[in-house]
Formats: sequence, structure tokens, C-alpha cells
Amino acid sequence: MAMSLIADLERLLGSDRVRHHPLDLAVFAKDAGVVSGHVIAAVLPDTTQEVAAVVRLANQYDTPIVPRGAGTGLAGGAVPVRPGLLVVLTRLASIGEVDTVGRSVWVGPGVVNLDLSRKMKPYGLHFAPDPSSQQACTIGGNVGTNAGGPHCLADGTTVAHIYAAELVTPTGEVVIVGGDAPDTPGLDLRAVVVGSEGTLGIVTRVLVRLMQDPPDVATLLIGFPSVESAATTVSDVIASGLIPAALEMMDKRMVEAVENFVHAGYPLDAEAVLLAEVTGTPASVRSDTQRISAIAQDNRAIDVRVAVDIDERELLWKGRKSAFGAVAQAAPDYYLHDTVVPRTRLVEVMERIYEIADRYGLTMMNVFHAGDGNLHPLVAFDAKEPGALGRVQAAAREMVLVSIEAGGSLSGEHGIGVEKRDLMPLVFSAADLDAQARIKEAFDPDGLMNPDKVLPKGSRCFDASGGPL
Amino acid sequence: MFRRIGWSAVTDIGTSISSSFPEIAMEPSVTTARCEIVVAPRTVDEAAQVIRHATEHGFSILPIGSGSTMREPRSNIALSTSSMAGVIEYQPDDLTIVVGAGMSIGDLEDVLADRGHSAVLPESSPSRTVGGVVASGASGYARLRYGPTRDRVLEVTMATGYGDVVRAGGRLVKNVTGYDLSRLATGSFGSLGVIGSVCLKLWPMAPASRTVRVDNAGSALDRLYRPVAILETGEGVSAYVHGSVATVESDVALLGGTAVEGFDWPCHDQPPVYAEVRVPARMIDDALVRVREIDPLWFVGQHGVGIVEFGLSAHDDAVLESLRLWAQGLGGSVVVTAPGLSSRQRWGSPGNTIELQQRMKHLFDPEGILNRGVLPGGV
Ligand SMILES: Cc1cc2nc3c(=O)[nH]c(=O)nc-3n(C[C@H](O)[C@H](O)[C@H](O)COP(=O)(O)OP(=O)(O)OC[C@H]3O[C@@H](n4cnc5c(N)ncnc54)[C@H](O)[C@@H]3O)c2cc1C
Repeated sequence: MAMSLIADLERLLGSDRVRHHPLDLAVFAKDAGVVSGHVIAAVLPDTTQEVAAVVRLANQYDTPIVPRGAGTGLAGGAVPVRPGLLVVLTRLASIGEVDTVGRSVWVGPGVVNLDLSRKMKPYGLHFAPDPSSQQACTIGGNVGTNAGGPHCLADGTTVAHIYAAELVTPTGEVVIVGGDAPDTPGLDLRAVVVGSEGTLGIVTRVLVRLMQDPPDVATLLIGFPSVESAATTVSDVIASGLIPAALEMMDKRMVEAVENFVHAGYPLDAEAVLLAEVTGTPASVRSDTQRISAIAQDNRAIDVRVAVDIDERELLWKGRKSAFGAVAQAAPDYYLHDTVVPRTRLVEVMERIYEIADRYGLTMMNVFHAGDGNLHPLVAFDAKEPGALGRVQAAAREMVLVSIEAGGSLSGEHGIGVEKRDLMPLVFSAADLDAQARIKEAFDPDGLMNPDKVLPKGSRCFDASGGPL
Repeated sequence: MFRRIGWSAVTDIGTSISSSFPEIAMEPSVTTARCEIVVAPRTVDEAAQVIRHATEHGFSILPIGSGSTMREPRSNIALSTSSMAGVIEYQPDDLTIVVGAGMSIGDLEDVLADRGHSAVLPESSPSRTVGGVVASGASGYARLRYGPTRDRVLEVTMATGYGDVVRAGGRLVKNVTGYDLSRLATGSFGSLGVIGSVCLKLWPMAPASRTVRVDNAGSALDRLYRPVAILETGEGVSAYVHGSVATVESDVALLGGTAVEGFDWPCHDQPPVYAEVRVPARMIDDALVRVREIDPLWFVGQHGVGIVEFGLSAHDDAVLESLRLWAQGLGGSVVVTAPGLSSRQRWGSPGNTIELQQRMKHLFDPEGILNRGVLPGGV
């Protein structure tokens, strides 16, 4: 069956856009996370019509379909759990005409996040979500995961930046969810497609919202004598009624790793640093900078540095954005968490997470979106060391539980995918999961679009009895 | 705890409900001729019980908040959220609040104003309920700066059409844990379930604000950095700016118009027919020209957003249809709210997602007892 599916796909797309060489399949069997899967073939369509034709073909063969962007996802979202057909969207990478009045543009899902903002620069506009992976990840992937980034603190995650999406449904029809005009009548399907991790259809075109570049920017790097004083500063800044454009935190270990890697001039004597950015008119940037410095000082900051020019600002950000690369260089393997907690609970949750890492004897570093309460404890380890992975996973579970106990949740931005699927009952009741499964069922009655993701098996719990009534 | 409000006209439905749920407040429907009885459960669990009861007995239900946007359809029971109207959890330092769906947005904003916060809900109708505003997906004029209301809905609890209580989303400003039913419930007009509580993301309000009369909306939009709103009415164009005192002063200087302190939002009477034309934001000037030609009672155009709302003294199919034809040609819509309209008159023709919408409705309300026909295409 697989061979005749591949032959049909080759007839449709030509053999160079249907990859099934073992080497290709090995590359495509993983994303940037820890899960690996089974790819029958990876196809690279050029148009919406080709995507729809591929989906209809897969339907004929009753074969699961998995959409994939750049594969930088960390939850296994783009990995076929059951043998499936991978639809790689990177060639749908056109950028339409920019609407400078409505501040929006239609783009292909394969456009790389950073490229989009670079191309919008001449218009004085940018796409706000800026994941640390922005040099590689695609807009389609960002829509899939409802990606966040440092600058989503003030501007919201991807869902607030998508006006419309063209979607190839799981049965191969082409529909538009949302629209160029506000408040499309009917249920807001756009809002559930964003963040659905490729399980409700394949996004083939996106109308993204563009934001004005700010007239003025200040970037602050603040060193603290303890993680607690940095975390308290974050809570205090938010509580004071100031929402900076970005508010990121790194602990000492992470600062050391980054400094070895990019030499951004981060203070090595600090136990934690905050990277804060404020944007707006020159007057508001001046006053916000002063307010943040004052709050930091009240929390015993040992060093406040304000970038003097764009070069220094970019250097400070380079430190933040190369953090994962720096760790990858230092440790053979790493496991990256992504829980989120109310911002008022940051200090206590951080304390408990350090305690867990210590108890398991793990090397942990932290770099995270502190202003959103989105934690990214990163555990460096060597998978070849016997028992190491087991300890990492046991600690991971405890860290997740600590976050949930504090009123938090499983994922702030990386998504559920396969990786956290079976933890969903920690956050949601059987009835909650059943309701979510109904959303999936409405889009994908046959369950062929990226199956086995997000919801644990049996989530549609009232299936057997035909409903509670 | 045994409460019956004005319980005189005992109908069959009333008897059926009161015998099953003696503790739930209800009253014969006087506010709306479209329902026989108003039932006001105190919790979302009670709401689910009423829904299950209605399903068993073949009654239909109309979820209502303040009843302001309620026009149709005819239902047996109006399920009011008025007994679920308090603050459930306010976390000022986290900038989130959880409230019962029946709380009025005026009461909510009063609570928030004490801490200098706002949920940025529609400015013009303080008596509308939070649940009603969320269910109708209504946004205020400040959406140019703060985005639509839906961007602030973090969590909802809901009694679904199949009688379950579900919670969706989370009390967190950032969260990607599963399918976000709270985002789907926003703007669903009670067609999927009855919203019991809502968690909203809040914004700190700036210390200073100004309303500035300007000549040209387009140039204000170009030159200002993130204005709160730029509105055009029959009286002219106003730019709404806020921030530190220094910021608003520099904005006012930049615009060079006359400024008044605070936000001077347009206000108008509830018209017999309320309509909105929604077009891509770049087409707003054309939309304003067309609305002016209709000679409405009043209008408010939202520059940078793409909505012109207007009031008419009577429904005129031909005029509204021709406006709609034009708007739909641009990918937009015309939405009309007035008594007795068909789904087509209210929304226009449903878009190409109609089958998906129907399936979603069926999965959340299999017996079709909730607000049937309220969405485009009669869904
Ligand atoms: C070093 C590093 C740093 C990171 N930092 C961040 C960060 O700061 N913030 C953040 O949010 N994430 C971050 N991530 C995670 C990841 O980059 C994001 O999830 C990103 O959005 C994935 O984009 P992608 O193109 O690689 O998508 P993929 O990994 O290919 O896919 C992600 C999901 O989207 C689906 N999908 C992809 N394309 C489509 C489409 N066209 N239609 C429908 N579904 C589709 C897939 O099925 C999958 O479920 C980071 C990852 C790495 C490796």
C-alpha cells in the first residue's frame, strides 16, 4: 500500500518532491524534541491545490497526515506517531503585498519568522511573536503552536496576530477561517485552528497582523544577588502596572554558558539577570526605564546597564537568543521544560524547582519569559550515563506538578504534542477533555490529521455510551 | 434558600422546573415575550442541570445576560446568568480576574478602577454582562490599541448543550495546553453552551488620557504610536491617546488639534435597528461614504479597525443588502440587529466554513436546544 501511495504522490508532485530515501526519513522522523516517529514519505507541495490533492490522496489510502514546518517544535507535534505522510510546508513561502494601512500581509506558512520581520522593516512594521528559534521556525509552525516569544509579553502570543488562515481541512477541502475584515460572522474557528498543533488541518496561507515599529526602545540588563530578588522584581514590575515589551530572566549557570558562547558582557557575578525592554515614545521610554531601575534597586540589584545604542541592544538580545545554542554546545543532551504559572507565584515555584533539581542531583539552568510566568528550566545531562534519563524524567514530572499546584499549566508556548499528551488529565477533567475532543471531531471526523496528538487516548469518553443523556 | 420570584403565572414548564429544582430562582417571563419563563441558576452546575432537564422534556433554552442583544430565537426557557454575578477571584498583581458571567461590565470596571485596571470591554453599555459580551464577541472602541475582547478571555466555565460542565483555557496570561474552547465560546452567542464564569486578562490604565479633534484620520493613524482609538462620527474625527502626561502632551502637540482631558467616547441612543459594516481596515473611508449615503440616525467609524456602526430608524432590506453585497465583495460583512430578522437578514449568507460550523454546533448541542439558528446559516 505504502508503495502505491508513494507512486501516486510522485505522479502528483514529481519524484523530487516526494522523499522516501531512508536518509530523508531519518531526518524527518524527529523534530527538535525528544520523540521520534515513523515517516512513510515526506512531500513538499508548492501550492494550496497540491496540499489539498495530497490530503485527498492520503484519505484514499486511509493514511495519517502530519503537517510540518521547520521541525523546530519541542513537543513532537510534527512527528508521525503512527506511520504517516509528512507534509512539509517550507516551499509555500511567498509574501504578498503589504497592506500598510490595515497593517497586515498574506504569507505562506513556510516563511521563516525572522525573514518576515526583516522584510517588513522598510515599512516600519514587524510581526510581533519572536520565538527564540525565529531564525529557523516558520509562520505555519508558529500558527500550529500559537508560539510565543520575549515580545509577546505586551503584544500577546501568535493567536493575537493572525487575522485569517487558509486551511486545507482533513478531508481535503479549502476553507478560510477568520478574515481580512474584523469579526467574521459565525463561530471563530480561526481562534481554535491557531494552537491546534496541525491536528485540525493544514494551514496554507496566513493573513498576519503587523505592528508599528516603536519610535523609541530601551533595553536594560540588570544583575541581582539572588534568583529570588530577580523574580520578585518581575512580580513587582507587573504589579506596579507596567507591562514592559519584554521581561526575560536568566540564572547564573545560564549566564555563564551564554558568556562562554557569545561574550555579550552579561555580569558573571550576578546570581540572576533580567533582560527588560521598554518601547514607545521617547518620553514614555525614559520614564519606564526609570521605574524599572527603581524597582530593581529596591530589590537589591547589583548592576543596571541600559544599552546605549542599537549595537549594544542587539548584543544583549543575542545573549538571550543564543541561550539554547550555548547549552547544546556545553552538554551532550538537554531537556527543556515549558510550564507556566501565575506571575504572583514565580518566587516560590522557582525555589521549589531548584530544590527538585538539587534533590535529583541534576544540572539545571534557567532562561525564561519571566514576565509571562512562563518557566523554561533546562536540564543538561548525558543520556549515555546509566539512569540519567530516568532521573531527568522523574524530576520533570515533579516540576510540572509543582507548577500545576501553584495554579499553572503544562505548556506556555511549546505545545502538548505527544510529549505532554498523557499529562493532560493533570490539568483537565474527563469532561473538559471530552469537550476538547469534540472540537477535534468536528474538524476531523475520520481522525487522519496528525492523530494521537494533544489529547490522550479515550478523551472522547462518552463515545461508548453515546453521550451522558 | 427556597426562592421564587413573582411566581404567579405557573406554566407547565415552570412547574416542571420548579419541582425538579426548588432552589433555583425563576420568574415568569415579563422582560421578553420570546420565552415563557426565566430561570436563574446560581452555579454553572445548576445551569447544566437545567439544560439536562430541558433536554429530557424537549424544552428549548435561550441563554441571556442582561438581555440587551437578545432578539431571537423563540425559546421555552430563558436561562439567565443574573444569579452568577460576583467576583470569583481577583489577582491584581497578576492582572487577571475571574467573575461570574452575570456580572455587569459597569460593576466589573468599578472594581478594577480601584486598582487602576481595566478589562477593556465595550465602553458604551455598562449594564451588559460579562458573559453576554464574551458570548457575543463584542469589543469596545479601544480595540485598536488593546485588540478585541477575545484576546483577553483566558478561561471560561460552561454548561454545554449536552449538559456537561466544562472548563477551558486557564487563569494564566499565556497558555497553550490543549484546544482552547474558551476562544471558541467567545462570540458563539450561546449556541454551544451557557458561560458560567470568565477569567479576563487586565490592563493597567495609563495615568493620562486625551481626546483630540483632528482633520484627517489617516494621518493621525500614521503618525501616532499606538493610539487607543481613532473614531469618526457625524461631528468629525477624534484621536484617543493615553500614556504618561509627557506622552499624551507630545501626542497632542504632534496632532496639533484641540484636546479635551479623558476619553470622550461617542454616545447614542439604542436605535430601532443597529448595524455594523465590517471591512478590511484600509477600506474604512469607502465604508463611511456608503454609510453616510444611507443617512443613518448616527454612525461611528473605527479607523484602523474597519468597523462602522450605525443606527437606523427602520429596517430597509434593499439598502442594507446593497451595502452588504459591497462589503462581502471585499471579504467583509454587514451585521444587523433588530427584532424579527431572519438569519440571512441578520448576517448575510454564511461563509464557506458553514459545514464545519454545523458539525461543531451539533457536537456541542446535539439536540439543538440552545439558541438554535442564532448563528449565520441558521446554525
Ligand atoms: C532553540 C529553540 C528555541 C525555541 N524557542 C521558542 C520560543 O521562544 N517560543 C516558542 O513558542 N517556541 C519556541 N521553540 C519551539 C518551536 O520553535 C516553535 O514551536 C515553532 O513555532 C515551531 O515552528 P516550526 O516551523 O519549526 O514548526 P514544526 O516544528 O515543524 O511544527 C510545529 C507544530 O505545528 C504544526 N504545523 C507546522 N506547520 C503547519 C501548517 N502549515 N499547518 C498546520 N500545522 C502546522 C506541526 O504539525 C506541529 O504540530 C523553540 C525551539 C527551539 C529548538
